[in-house]
Amino acid sequence: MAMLFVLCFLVELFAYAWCRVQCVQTGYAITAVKDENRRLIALRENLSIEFERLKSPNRIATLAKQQLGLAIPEPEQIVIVP
Amino acid sequence: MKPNNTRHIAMRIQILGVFFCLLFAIIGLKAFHLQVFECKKLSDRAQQEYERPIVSAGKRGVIYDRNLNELAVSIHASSIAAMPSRIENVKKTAKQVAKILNLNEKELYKRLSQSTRFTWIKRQVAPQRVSAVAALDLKGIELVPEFSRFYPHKTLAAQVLGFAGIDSKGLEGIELYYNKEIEGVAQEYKIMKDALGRGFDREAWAEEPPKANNLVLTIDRTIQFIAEEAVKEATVKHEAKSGIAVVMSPQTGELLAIAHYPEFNPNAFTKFKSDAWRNRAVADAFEPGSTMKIFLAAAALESGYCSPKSIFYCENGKYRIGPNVVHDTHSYDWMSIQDIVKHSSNIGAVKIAEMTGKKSLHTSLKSFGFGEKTGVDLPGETAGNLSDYKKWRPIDVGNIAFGQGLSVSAVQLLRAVCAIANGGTLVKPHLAKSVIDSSGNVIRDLTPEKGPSVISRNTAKAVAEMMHMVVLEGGTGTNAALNHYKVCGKTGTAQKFVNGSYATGAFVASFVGFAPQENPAVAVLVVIDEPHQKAHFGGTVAAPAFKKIVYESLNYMAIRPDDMLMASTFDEKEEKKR
Repeated sequence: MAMLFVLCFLVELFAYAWCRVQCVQTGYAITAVKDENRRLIALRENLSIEFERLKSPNRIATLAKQQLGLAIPEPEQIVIVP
Repeated sequence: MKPNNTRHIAMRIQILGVFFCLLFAIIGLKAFHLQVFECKKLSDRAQQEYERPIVSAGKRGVIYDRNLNELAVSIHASSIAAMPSRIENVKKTAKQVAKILNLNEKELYKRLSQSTRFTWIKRQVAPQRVSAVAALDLKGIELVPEFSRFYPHKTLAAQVLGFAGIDSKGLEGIELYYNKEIEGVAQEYKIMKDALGRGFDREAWAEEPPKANNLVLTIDRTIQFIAEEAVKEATVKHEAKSGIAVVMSPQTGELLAIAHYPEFNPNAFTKFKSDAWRNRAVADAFEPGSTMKIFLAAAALESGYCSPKSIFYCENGKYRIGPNVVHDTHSYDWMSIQDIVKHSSNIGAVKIAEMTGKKSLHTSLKSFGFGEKTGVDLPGETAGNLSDYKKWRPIDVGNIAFGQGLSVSAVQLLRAVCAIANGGTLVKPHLAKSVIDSSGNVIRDLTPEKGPSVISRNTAKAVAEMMHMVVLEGGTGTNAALNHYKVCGKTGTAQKFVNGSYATGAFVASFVGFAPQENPAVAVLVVIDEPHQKAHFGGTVAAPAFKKIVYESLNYMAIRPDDMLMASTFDEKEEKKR
């Protein structure tokens, strides 16, 4: 009876230790995923800034004038669609 | 074994037993004391060893232009900090980190050798340097997530936006003025590391911080670009010291653009002189020169002493006021108010001012907002200077008539022109439209109330017609005329007042006006400071920049050209073909 009690106690002890270790490991895994999430948020921000930069009037005007040879239209060239 | 010896050994065993029992009892008592009485104190101390609370200023709100294009954003950035007590090899760590971050190794070694628990090494470090430091995996060196302010369009509207400092506090421009509206929600984070130095339980770091409110401006990114290009071109072409262009909506007072040259990059503001940061359109006052004649004409008409048909003798180019002589660039005899404005006659302006009377002139100029702050939502606004009419000498009345002896800010001058453009209402210039939350819902509408009426609709209409004559053949502002829109404007050329006297060869050239004459969409002011002496007139230096800004802005805003002007241009071209 005493042996059984000691055995149960030891099993419970190991089970508890295993649970604690698993809990800590899961904590590390969650932290790693959260870090990755943060990295992706930063990447999204950087891409959105890059998108803004690509749309900037300065860049568009330079490309239009220098690469495509475009110019500001004369009023006669403008057709306003009603 | 002898019984004596046996007894002796048994006694020694008993003594040892008692000794060990006492020892275990002491250890047990000590353990009990530590676990029960000292538990909280010690666990707090242990936690302090592994945790370090850091207060982050939070993520600042976005500043948008009127079409919700981002002008200023906050991005994730890492700062590098140290916990000196946890560093294993201070000398080696200092050497490696200093090399990557381009810091002074000796100074860093000194800082890392101190007994403090926490110290910043470098704030908001470039991502590649952060990665290099992280790759070293040094004990006691931490990467702390923060937010850095970033301006995607670099120099665009830099003097308007201003900038925020390293702690995400607005330091200049809109960033300073609306700091409370857009500042981030401060958060406390804890750096937690285990015995192996691995990060643990950093949920607060990884999640998006609470979102701050965003600010929507009245600035239009494209018109701002058009204005900046035009003012840069004029300043460089005429070898001027600096240039300003302001674009305003005459009906609402919304500032569509405030352009400066030279420019600066708010992403690296420390690399520019603080002089370049200043928004000169609101902070600097200048003598407006002949642009003042339009307000003189308005004052004269409004007072009832003159009508648009009143004529004045312009003394053939020379007019004596006491000991002083006023000159005109060309000699004129009799001219109407319209012609005085069109040809910018100084003597004619003095004659109008004399007829209007100084009290009436002063009251009218005050009602246009001269000598008082406009209340524009930017820091450091100047009120300009308009002295009390009781102190005016006869020559002062003459000087003020053609824009000398008083000073105005660019925004103040343009606001007064808007009153003529919109039929007499003095609008309040403003830069912010609304504060919105992260979902785009308007939290606070910042549109100011409609301003007071300062002149009658008829007076405004008559002055606008005079301003239109300025850009027609024979006027001083023909360089501002557009073929397909009716433009109203006025040139200004003022000698600079430096250290108590008028400087020889130093001028401020300006052009102010609006278009189209009927239902104006934009009012524009261009001010070029100290252009090259060869061509220093407002009509030569500032008018072409005005023309470029107005034409390209109207084109961008899809404002339909005047059908009558279109038809006459078409007829002229057909005639030439024949």
